[in-house]
Amino acid sequence: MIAKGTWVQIHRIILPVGSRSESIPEHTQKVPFEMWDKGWLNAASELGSFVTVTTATGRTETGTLIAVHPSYHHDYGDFVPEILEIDRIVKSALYGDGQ
Amino acid sequence: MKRDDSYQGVLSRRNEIMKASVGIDYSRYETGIIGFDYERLMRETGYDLATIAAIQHSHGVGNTPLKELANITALVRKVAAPGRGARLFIKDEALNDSGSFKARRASIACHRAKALGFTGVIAATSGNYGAAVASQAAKYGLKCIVVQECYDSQGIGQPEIIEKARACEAYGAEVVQLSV
Repeated sequence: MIAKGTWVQIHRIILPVGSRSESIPEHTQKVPFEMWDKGWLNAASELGSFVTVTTATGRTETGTLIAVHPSYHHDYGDFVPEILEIDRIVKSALYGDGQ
Repeated sequence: MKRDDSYQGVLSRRNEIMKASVGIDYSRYETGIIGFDYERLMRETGYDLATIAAIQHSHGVGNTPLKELANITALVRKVAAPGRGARLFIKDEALNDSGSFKARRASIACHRAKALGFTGVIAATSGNYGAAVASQAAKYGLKCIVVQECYDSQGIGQPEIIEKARACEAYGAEVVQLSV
């Protein structure tokens, strides 16, 4: 059980497939319009249940509880070996081949 | 009659919403076919350049340094015709609070919101403008919501957008993330 007042992340489908704007691409119309938000849990709940939270601006928002103390993850992608060659070319052009 | 809050309904009221919230009728300053009288706009709204600079400077924005790019200039001159190849400089806008030139515009927007008595600001943006608005809103004591178009249909978020969400939340904003 996750205690009331815990900082959590929620997820909700805002527009299901079939009710999306007709002005968006066909591929996008085939997927739902989804929302993620964060806030303090208004009542003790379990992961996966539909909950109400109070957001950072004091708004009330609802959705499925998907994460507790949600963290931030991203990376900078794969190594690009060409960068080593660019570095060699630039150093050579600026400071000569002896560098 | 009930107000139409559908997507199309809100979009059709876009100009009047803008006019009512900002208090400026931009159509007054349109001239000819594509002209826009910025000088008159700035004069009549009280936002001349000196006022804008003062607002920005008192909130960590502007006055960024010029830096010479000596290496890039040298590289250009390796391939430029003799006598060509200008000295290159950058104006380091990353030194504005929140890390980009977007703080310039956000600073004025938040100043205007505070002056008109609004309790908060909202911006739909996935990038630097969100961080800029969140940062300036924090300085003015305004609530802030940043709405991001963040995830693709597989739930994969662009790294720079994810990072901007972290920055906005660090400045105290609420970040609403959306799929495309």
